[in-house]
Amino acid sequence: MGTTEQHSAAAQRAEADRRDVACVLAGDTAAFEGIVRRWQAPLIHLAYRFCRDRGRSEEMAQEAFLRAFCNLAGWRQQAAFSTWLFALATNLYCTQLRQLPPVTLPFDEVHEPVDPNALDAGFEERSRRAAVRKAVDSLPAKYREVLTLYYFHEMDVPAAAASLGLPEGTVKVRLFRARKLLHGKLTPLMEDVALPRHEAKESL
Amino acid sequence: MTHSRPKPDLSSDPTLDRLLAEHFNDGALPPSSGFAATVMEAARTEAAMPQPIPFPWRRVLPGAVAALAGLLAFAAWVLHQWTEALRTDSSRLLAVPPSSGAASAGLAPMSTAELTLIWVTLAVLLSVVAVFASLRLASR
Repeated sequence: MGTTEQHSAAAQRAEADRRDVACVLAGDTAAFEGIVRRWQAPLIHLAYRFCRDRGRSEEMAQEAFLRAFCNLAGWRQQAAFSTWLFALATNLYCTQLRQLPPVTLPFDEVHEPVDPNALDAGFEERSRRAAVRKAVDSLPAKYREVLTLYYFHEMDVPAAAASLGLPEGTVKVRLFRARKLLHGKLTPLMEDVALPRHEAKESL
Repeated sequence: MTHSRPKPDLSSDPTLDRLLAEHFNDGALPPSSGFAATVMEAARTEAAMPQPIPFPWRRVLPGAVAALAGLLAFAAWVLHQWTEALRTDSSRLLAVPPSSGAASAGLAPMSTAELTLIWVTLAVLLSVVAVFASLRLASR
């Protein structure tokens, strides 16, 4: 999809959101379904990135939609509806997940060494993903939240900042610190990934 | 969500960026078939619920303002009485000879006890008024 088409689709979504919100505020509850259908996938996906649990992510998204429904009058239309909705959902997800006990992993246990001689590429891939996941999960919540939103919004700092309700400068600082922490934890893994497989084997 | 804005200069390490992008973008979840229906059902239930009863500020405010004004006036009166009593006590202490110290010392506890009694009476009265007012408001 080209940039012009993307802009056009986004403008259509924004217009549909504005129309549906006006209808809901006028008393037509059924108009909320349009909003739900348009944003259910992104909201569930965002929740999944926070909790990594499919069932729970739908529950969290449902709660976010309900909260949005109850507070629709609070959308001032200064920002896009999606920005307001993501900010509301992010706030809810962060609050809910902070109530759960944090994952406490010693940094030494984070990296699961990948056997370069392993023939099972799937296994290698899985262990790499597990190592990254453990490293991300062991970060403090404020860094993890910023990373989650940054990659959810395809590395768009202003969008991540709007969703988190934080100044862009704060988001950049947290991103920098999070990346620095992760860099320290994942250095051996990154060396393996940076080298193509055959080069890695030749170097042994 | 797709954005066409240029990437900020934060990706000092492309390998780390690639690992993180992989991590955060894996497992795209399609919503389950009944998700929208469940949300709409919950929204309809929410819409059907009666509006929460607003706090009766119009009824409460005049009484609250009057009570506050009364309390402040009473506190000012008590403060005035207290300073007067202290001034009288100190002038008596200066006037009487040291041999009659016990008699003069008895005056101060008397005035303090009186003030304490007044405070307690006022507190009891306020409590009674508050209980009756809340009962009356709740029964309406």
